[in-house]
Amino acid sequence: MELYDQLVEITKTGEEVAIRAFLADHFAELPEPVQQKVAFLFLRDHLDGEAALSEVRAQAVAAAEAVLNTRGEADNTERIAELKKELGAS
Amino acid sequence: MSILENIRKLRNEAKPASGPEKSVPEILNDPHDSRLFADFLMHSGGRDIDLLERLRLGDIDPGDARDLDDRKMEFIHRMNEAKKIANFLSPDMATTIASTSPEFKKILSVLGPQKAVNMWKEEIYNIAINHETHFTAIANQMTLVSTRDEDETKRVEDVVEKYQKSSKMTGRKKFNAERYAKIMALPEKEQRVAWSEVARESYGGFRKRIDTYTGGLLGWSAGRRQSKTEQAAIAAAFEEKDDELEVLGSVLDLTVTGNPLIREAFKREMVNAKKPENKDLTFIQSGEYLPKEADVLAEWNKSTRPKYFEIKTPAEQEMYREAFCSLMENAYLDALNTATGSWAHIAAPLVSFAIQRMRPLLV
Repeated sequence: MELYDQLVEITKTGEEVAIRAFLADHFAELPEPVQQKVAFLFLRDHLDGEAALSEVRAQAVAAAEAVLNTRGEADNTERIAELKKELGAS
Repeated sequence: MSILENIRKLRNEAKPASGPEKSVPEILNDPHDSRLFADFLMHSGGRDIDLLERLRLGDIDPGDARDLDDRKMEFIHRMNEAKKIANFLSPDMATTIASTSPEFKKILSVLGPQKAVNMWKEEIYNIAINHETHFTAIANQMTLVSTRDEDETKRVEDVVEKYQKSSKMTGRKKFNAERYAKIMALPEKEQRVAWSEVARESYGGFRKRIDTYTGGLLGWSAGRRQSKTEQAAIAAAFEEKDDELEVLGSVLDLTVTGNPLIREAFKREMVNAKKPENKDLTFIQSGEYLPKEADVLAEWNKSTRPKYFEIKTPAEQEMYREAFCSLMENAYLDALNTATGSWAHIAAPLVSFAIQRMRPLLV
């Protein structure tokens, strides 16, 4: 009960880092069903990070490809203008 | 082995999730399945709760048997979906997570990798039956992670390389661009550390240049007023810094909409930057002498220094406000501390540089 009270007090502060540290430090003292929930929270946390990173990378690649395509088009336009100029001059 | 590699490996080795379908009696005779089936009926509500009650009492009729068979189909479907997700979990994955999380490392020292996986799997089944929406979110996340491009990292590197070539980067610019691109490819926790390092170096360089530029008026380090030759050297140093910013900006462009990790690293560096000692906080707290952002903007707009861009909308002002506050507070405290020059005089070049610096960070 003392452990539970401590956890409630820490939870009231809303400090996630402190809550995580407390749960990890006292993991062995927790009942098994609670251990299961806590262990799963860490898996969720990791998946959140992986999924977010995946999205950022996908956005990064899409944005860069869009920029490169735009540049490619600009280069082509420039080249066409040059060729037209050359042809007109010849 | 990273979590992603683990998932790919397991996906390649994955067996079909659904085996021969269990009958209702088989489900009821399995302690694990029967508990979950009872949960399933309980959560379905209505007639299913009555059905569960008759099942407990052993008082079922032929009509109930048909209903149970119907409900079993939905139950088996959810269990199979849970099994697909559970198949991605492995002891290697638990070890990988422990290598990046000190808290989970402690947990794993109590459980051991296999027991941790067993607990995860059990929880996946529980969630699949008892919290359908929650389960869908996890399944989507796992699918996103497990199905993302296998050559994703290489694809990022290729695009960055093409981007660099397209931008004709050379020398230090290229070196920095490559460094930032490599950081972008790191796992999130390592990225946080690496961006903090970049922020420390970059903001440190920024402060040194501001110091030199203002002849040490800001007191970040000992300084003095410069000769014309020195001023030319300083201008060159600023150009070099601009190059660095351009590279950082281009890499940040790649991350679009502001990579939160980079933004966080720079904000943290600014907030934690060492402030002068003996600062008199009473002035700040009273607000009497604290300049408002509007004053700074007015000062900046009056300035004859070249403008890199205009702040036009309230939304833009809000966007830069937080970054300005951190920098302005430092400048103001330092001005108070050194008691030299007016704040606006000191702030003008500071703000101009801050605008350049913060623009790519607060997209």
